[in-house]
Amino acid sequence: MTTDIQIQGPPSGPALAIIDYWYSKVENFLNGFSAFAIFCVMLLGVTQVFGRKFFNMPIPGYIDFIEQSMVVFAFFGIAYCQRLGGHVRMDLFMAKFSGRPLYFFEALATLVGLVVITILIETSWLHFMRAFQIGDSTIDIELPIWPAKLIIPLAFCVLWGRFVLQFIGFSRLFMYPNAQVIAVPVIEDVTELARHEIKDALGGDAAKQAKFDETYRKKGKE
Amino acid sequence: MEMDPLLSGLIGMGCLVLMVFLGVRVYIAATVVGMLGIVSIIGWDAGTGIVGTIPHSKSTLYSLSVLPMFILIGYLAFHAGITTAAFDAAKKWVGWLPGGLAVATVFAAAGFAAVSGASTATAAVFSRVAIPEMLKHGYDQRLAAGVVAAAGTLASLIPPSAILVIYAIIVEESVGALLLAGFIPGIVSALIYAAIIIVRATLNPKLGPPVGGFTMKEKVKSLPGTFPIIAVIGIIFSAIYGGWATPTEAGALGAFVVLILAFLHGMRTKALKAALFETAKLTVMIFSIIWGVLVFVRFLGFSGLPEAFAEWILGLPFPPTVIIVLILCGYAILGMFMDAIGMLLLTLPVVYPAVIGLGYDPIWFGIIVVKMVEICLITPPIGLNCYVVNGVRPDIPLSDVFRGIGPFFVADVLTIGLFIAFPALILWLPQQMLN
Repeated sequence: MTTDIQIQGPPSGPALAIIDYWYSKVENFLNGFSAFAIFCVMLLGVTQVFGRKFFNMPIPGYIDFIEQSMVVFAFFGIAYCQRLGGHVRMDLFMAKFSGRPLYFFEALATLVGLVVITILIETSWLHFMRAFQIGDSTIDIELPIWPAKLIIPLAFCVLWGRFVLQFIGFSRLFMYPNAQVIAVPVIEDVTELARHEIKDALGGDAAKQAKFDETYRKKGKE
Repeated sequence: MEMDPLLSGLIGMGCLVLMVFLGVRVYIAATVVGMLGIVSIIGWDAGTGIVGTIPHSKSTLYSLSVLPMFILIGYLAFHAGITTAAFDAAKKWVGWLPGGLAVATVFAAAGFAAVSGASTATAAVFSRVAIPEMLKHGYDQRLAAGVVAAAGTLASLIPPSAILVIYAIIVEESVGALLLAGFIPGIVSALIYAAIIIVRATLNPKLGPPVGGFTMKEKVKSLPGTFPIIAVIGIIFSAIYGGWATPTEAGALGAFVVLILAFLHGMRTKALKAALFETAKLTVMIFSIIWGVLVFVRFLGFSGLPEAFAEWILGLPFPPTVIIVLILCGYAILGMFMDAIGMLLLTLPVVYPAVIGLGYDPIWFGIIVVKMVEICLITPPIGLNCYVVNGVRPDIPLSDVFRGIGPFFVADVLTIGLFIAFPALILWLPQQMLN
């Protein structure tokens, strides 16, 4: 697991940092939209249960609505999650590297992502075009399916942009390993991971106060 | 580009492992290997065409919409003041037992697990709520830290559990059945933890003295604080059993109840926003890995590798129990290096058909595997739960936390043995309730 470097306010330095800052804003907005969609699914679910149980008035096409809105929370946050290093991976071996070798493998992994997402943008776009041209719709209340299918290539485009930024970021660090880390997530070791979990459960203050047993870890490493 | 499908399946599996080791995110690695594999078998146009449909078709299944609801319940649960109330009630009812406060921690964590699905988070919260109380009453530091780290793991069995939903989706079993199936094993694990504490504290009363002297009135008064727990369990169980709501609707209702309670308990909109953002992030992570792995699964389907692997396993000259124990040991080793969700999704497509071929029940295997990956959260070399406890309580050395975990690790191994010997412990409840 990894985390990003927190930037306070718009940076004035290298162009990469500025682009990263504003791009992050777009990603935050999209993830916020996804969060809002989840909130709506909750309210819709409650309304559906009460409407059906007590007033015998289920929401027409409830399942259709939910299924079509699922692409929002399944894809809108994908670039946000990529930036924060939230997507699952195995850090075990990567954590053993540092400096150039680390940045080389990171850049390589990012390049793989970039290539596959490029292909997926095209193929998911074709998938959308077919639905758009045929005029596919849902079974129950015949909502058109194409808007949901359109969201996927669009979300992949945003992810593509994030991969480009990360690729530039890692390539830059590969060339200048001692430069300031910009636009890429850094690997968290187990104590930082634990700090994150503490923050989620107990809040930021507890996370700041958290201290870890250094002697034990050093002993374990040797 | 013609290649023997089985051979390309094996090469694909190897490439996937290599990429994951080199730090490629699992959703990307699975998609790349799956895509190249399908292309190698049926050609570029048809292959990429199939892959392009999977992200949409596999993420708009209604049954998956329960995931964000369960995750949201978990993130909101911390704001609803449930932990303190649950620990207080458990302390008053079982504190008189030998090692009573540690036993109370186990039961309160089990109760909290019924609203939260996250192991590490449960450990963090109870480090703050239960450890000070135990130390104040002269409890052994290792016992206090160990019980908190171990009790956190109960969260992934007791419903609502996101990881059981993911298992159900991948192996195409009933989500409801898996959620119900986790309940008794969760309780059994809690009881075995409690039994171990009681035995140890009886043999060595210094470990954890009983804390008693509460009147019946005090005991009864502590109960209303546990209402959110009972409400969430009640909603989810009665919905699945009675069929009056789908799991998504039940999850929505549960989230709504916890949300109201959190607001009553003083949660601000800022905290709600943070909880929703975290929910969205975890949701997209899970959905990405699901469609990514399903691209890979489609390729495995073309290659015939799972069938071949199952045939090979069935041809081994060992009894099924030995094979299943070996598979579980494999999971224990993998779990040391990898996140539970990623590990399950990567291995199940190949391992699952073989396990079913051996004659094991899909629901039974789901519970066993999830219990297995949870053990990895408390064992070295990583043991994230132990680090969480150490982070909240830096005064307790990490070595003490790991030593404190020892007895609970033994308890977990015993529990798994029990489930292998008596599968009915897992299967009875879903069979009773869903037939």
